[in-house]
Amino acid sequence: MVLLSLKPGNYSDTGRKAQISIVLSEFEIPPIQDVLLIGRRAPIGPEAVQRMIDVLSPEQYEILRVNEGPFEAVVIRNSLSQLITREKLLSIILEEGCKVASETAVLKAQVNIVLNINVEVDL
Amino acid sequence: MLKVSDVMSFPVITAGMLDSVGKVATVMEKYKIGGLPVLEKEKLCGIITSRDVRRTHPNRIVADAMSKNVVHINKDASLWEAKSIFEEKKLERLPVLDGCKLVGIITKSDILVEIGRHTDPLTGLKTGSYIRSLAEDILRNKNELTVIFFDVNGFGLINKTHGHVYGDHCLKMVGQILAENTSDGLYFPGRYAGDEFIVVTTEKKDNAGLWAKEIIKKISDTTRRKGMPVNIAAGVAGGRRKDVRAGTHLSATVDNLINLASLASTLSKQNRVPVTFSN
Repeated sequence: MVLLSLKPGNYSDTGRKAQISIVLSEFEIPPIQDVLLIGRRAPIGPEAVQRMIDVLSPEQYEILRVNEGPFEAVVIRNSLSQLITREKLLSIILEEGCKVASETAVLKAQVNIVLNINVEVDL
Repeated sequence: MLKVSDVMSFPVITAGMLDSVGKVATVMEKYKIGGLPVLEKEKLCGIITSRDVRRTHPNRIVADAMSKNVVHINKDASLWEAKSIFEEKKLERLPVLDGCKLVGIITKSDILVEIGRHTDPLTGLKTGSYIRSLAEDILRNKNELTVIFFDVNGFGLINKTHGHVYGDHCLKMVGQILAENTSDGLYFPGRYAGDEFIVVTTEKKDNAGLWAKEIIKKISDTTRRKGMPVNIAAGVAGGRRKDVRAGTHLSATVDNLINLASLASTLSKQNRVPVTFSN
């Protein structure tokens, strides 16, 4: 966090003062992490998101339309579908998302998939 | 025939795919319109209505609020074709295209008002002026044109004997029978004036004469059965000139045929025969 003081001459001496605080952080590209859930009445729709990812992260995300429930569409990072089937992932995400979101919400989710593999071999 | 291009509104106020819904709402409010066609690279790709605007967040882009399956109509389509699309699809407005290019927009009320102007309120048939313009189109398209002129026998006496309300009922029945027997798209009936009816067709003169005889019999039988006997005389003209004579104006040709058919119907009355062909 950087705190800036107003230089003399830039403020009046009437007794009113302004304090400005600036938080600098890195812009996340892409800004939608792994999954984005778009509510039916959300301020941004799937077409707009499609255009955004086409420009910011081409060919990295897939938009899946949802016919029922509070969400109109789900955006999923392509690499996730390589680890788990898209249908399975979608059903888990929708089930959890529906518990916390409304039609007006846009939720982003971080999804970590860890594969545990145990292999037995004959010695 | 009246075409969509005769009554459409243009130029059209449109929305872009990336416009915000909030901006579209302002445009609709400003111009008092309930829907905007949506264009992308000058191509029609959707339509956004006030209903879409009401149920969508104003921050959304039009692409996320519009209906993508746009029903549209060609500028050369007839008003009746447009009317049936409005009724079938339950729509309020249709974008009008010339090929792929948006050239206008037409609303349901535009169509109903215009059709109302060309519909006879008593019989529900088209007006004589409409049938006249239809006849001109038939000639313009180099089709055969036959005009049949129907005249109710002794209608003045019917009015004097039974009253004008009774007379109106008789005319309604004649109109109804004509409408019921012309749904095949070959014959186009209208009320010419008073107790006179006109039918134009692309059928040849002889076929048209046979059809007229059948109609006269149906009118006679039906009205007698309903206790309001009405007899009709008809005159038939045309059906012989496939091409308009060089130098002759279309409307003059149509006027001539109507006149000949009218005179022939007078001869039918005088000679007490159902149908007379004009020479």
